[in-house]
Amino acid sequence: MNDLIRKNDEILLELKNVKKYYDISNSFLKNKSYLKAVDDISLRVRKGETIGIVGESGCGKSTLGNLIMQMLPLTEGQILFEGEDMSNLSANQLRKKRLDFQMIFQDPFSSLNPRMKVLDIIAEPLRTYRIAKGEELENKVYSLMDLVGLNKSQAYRYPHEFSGGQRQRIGIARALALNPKLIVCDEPISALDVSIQAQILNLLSNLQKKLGLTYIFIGHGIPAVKYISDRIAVMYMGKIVEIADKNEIVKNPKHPYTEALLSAIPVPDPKLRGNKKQTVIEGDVPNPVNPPSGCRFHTRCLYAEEKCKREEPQMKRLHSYHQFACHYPINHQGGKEFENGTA
Amino acid sequence: MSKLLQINNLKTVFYTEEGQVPSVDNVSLDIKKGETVAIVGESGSGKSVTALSILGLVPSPGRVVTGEILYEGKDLLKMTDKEIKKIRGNEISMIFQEPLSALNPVLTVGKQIQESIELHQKKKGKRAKEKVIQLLNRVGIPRPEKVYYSYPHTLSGGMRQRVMIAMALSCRPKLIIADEPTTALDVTTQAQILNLMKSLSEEEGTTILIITHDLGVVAEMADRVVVMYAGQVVEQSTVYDLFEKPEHPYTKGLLDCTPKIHGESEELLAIEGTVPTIQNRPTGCKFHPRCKFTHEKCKEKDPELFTIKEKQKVRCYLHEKVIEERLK
Amino acid sequence: MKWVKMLLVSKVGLIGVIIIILFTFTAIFAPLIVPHDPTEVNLGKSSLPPIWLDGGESTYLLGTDNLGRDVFSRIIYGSQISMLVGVCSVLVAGLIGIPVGLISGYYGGLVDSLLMRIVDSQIAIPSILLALVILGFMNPTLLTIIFVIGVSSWIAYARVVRSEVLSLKEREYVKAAKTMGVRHSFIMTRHLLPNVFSSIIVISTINVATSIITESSLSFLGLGPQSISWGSILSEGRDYLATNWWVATFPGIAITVTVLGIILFGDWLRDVLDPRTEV
Repeated sequence: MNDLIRKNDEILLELKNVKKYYDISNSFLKNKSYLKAVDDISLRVRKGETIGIVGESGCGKSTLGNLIMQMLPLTEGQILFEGEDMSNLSANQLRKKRLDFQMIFQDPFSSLNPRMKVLDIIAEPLRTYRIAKGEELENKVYSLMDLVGLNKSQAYRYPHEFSGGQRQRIGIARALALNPKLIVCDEPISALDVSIQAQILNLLSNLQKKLGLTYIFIGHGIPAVKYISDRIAVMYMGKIVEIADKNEIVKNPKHPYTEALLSAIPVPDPKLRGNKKQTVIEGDVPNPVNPPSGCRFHTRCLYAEEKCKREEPQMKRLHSYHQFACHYPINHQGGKEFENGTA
Repeated sequence: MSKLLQINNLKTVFYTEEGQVPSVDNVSLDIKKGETVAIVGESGSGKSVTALSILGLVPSPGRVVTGEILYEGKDLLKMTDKEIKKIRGNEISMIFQEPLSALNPVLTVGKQIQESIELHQKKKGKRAKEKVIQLLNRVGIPRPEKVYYSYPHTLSGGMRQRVMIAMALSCRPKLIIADEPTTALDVTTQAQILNLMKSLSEEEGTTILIITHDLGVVAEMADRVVVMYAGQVVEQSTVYDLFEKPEHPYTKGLLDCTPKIHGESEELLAIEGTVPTIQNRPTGCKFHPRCKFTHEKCKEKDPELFTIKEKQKVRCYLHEKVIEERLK
Repeated sequence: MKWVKMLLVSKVGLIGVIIIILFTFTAIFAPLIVPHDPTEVNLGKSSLPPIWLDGGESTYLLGTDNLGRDVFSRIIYGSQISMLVGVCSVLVAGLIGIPVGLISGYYGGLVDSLLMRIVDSQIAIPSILLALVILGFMNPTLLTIIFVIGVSSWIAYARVVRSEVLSLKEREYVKAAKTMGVRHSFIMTRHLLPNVFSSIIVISTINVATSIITESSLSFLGLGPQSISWGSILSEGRDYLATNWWVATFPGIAITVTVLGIILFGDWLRDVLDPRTEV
């Protein structure tokens, strides 16, 4: 059905049971409590693919991005980049490794230092690793600017002279400067105007084709995430609840939360207003310090049963490209047992 | 249906060091009783300033310079402060994008709504409290008796927006102006809030003016749509016409560049260029630097808003010929 | 180029710069300007009023003090010490306070707690008292005075820089620099420092003023550098305010005008350094 199931795909990044807990214990009352921002996530990212990560705010998707970027220490688990365990690296080794993975940020207004010229902003990574200097550096910056659709005559301007979309292009040029293999995009279009979002999405997708990049695309707008991704992972309260090929997950969601997320997206077609299947979930995300027992979604799930309150569902495999964690998946005929497995 | 609100040639200007900057430039629109009208636009389109102009809430250094805003036939712009305050509290309510900044952080939610009720409905004490609980219930807040005593920061974004709506409803307004009411919310919460607003409109006949940048929200909510670009109305039509046959190149561009959940992933047809800031609006048609159909005339003179059929108006020279032929 | 243009556009900045240049000039060329030796005692000419008042003499522009010393000459000479102390002690304070604030705010945690406790304990001691204690061990030379005033005023820098850094370090551009592997020292100097500059300038301009005044207080207590400064002239003149008001008034005006000039200059400098300011 698609090329994602090939056995000898090269794995660029692998997350093994990654956990990030924040200790919020009250030392005065002596009770231990943790905020489980990311709880036991396993994920394999193939070279050249884009994994979209979606979920409501507070689901841990940004924390996951920061963990992959090695901006936060892990509580438990491993992150392997090209087979190498990143937490074993010394500060200096890690610094060298950072060449290979870069990040694009959400807010194009706070991600650029207002006191630096565009040239210096894009040149910063090149200077940091002493990759180029003088005229060579300047030319490299110009070619990067060209690559992201900026005019090199703008190199000596300051960020405030640019619009949001152009600033995001500057941020992308900076991320590309070191020829990274992986780019973590942390909601890179959510602060942009609608007509500009498409430009940036197209740019990212063209760059990927041109440079063979691998993306982790964190976003809350599912249509945009779907546009750019190959696979989509849905997160809820620190866990991946479903992951599949993007078309598969949209057409055939197995987890009730995925279904709810999809049906909540307003469709830009007024004729579908009445006859759209609405499975609006009620209520809010529960307090993450005290997550519900069993399946964390059971308090809001339309199909929850007794078992869901008691037992936490394990990741099950529908195909090698479709996995989910639910006891009672949607449209599941027959009693076929699913294999356990991770993405 | 009679017109509840009619805006004629509204012009709101900001006085800056570089001179006068027209944020809203000659905007006319009307809203009938019971209708839901959406204003769509991007940053700098003047959509929010239009809404603020209606309520006389344009922040300094901005000011409405010309035009009229007729509410049930009376011009809001000619009213005294006292009169407009009465309208603002009793007849027209507003819901903002970020409810946390619109709510007082040191008062409980219940207290804030109760104050509004005591002010507008002449109900006191226990009766007012009952009314608050009833309202919280109406907007779908679970355990309203408990939420009554909560402070805004302890509530989630969706809950806060519900509280805002409850507050807006407390004076039983005829018109609710909602400025990006769901932009700060997650999709699931957005769906809940949109459903709530729909039910208000359907069950209580509340007229709604919703301001948004999200065409999905427009398609879900609106009866009629006003598309704004760079301070002007560029297209105005019913929601069905707009999505089926958008006539302005900008509207068409907006629809084409929005990723669809069930669509195929071919390249998005992006609108090139940048959104003009209010200081740097182009001459002629404001959209011409980004338009695929630009010709000389577009650069020189602003097109007028041509009526191409009943309930559909477009500000684009592409439709001039159609009109001329029809007149012959 | 932007600097020159900004000077011509901003009249306020121009006034500040002119005042500063004027005073620096008089401080450097004092021996060439003064009509009398500032230390020359001439009891025959004691307590002369300024020339525009009855009894004023033409060579004593601003009158004389009770010992017959020329007030104008003393103010010109006094500007040397006052300007030097004002500017240098601010540099000392900045050199200590800014790095402490940067490190404290950026690293946080234990380093921050430790440094901030030092700051807190110094806040608890009045700066003039601290200066007295230090001067108890040292000879009050010009250098020690600069050092003492600098050491007693660095906490303002540390606190302000720290609090600004605390919010700035959460900006995405700092995070971006970290993800790129930029070294901490670089992040502090290239990303954080330029963005706290406007606050530093504001404190510095105020600090120049307070330093000049602290120096005069120390002079008044007899712990000054034992040479002529605006502060010492002012404090000597205080005893004769009722009769010879000009002795204390003119150095006071000199301090005020200098401080004003520095503040105007600081405002202008802040605008020049901000890339968002359009010419």
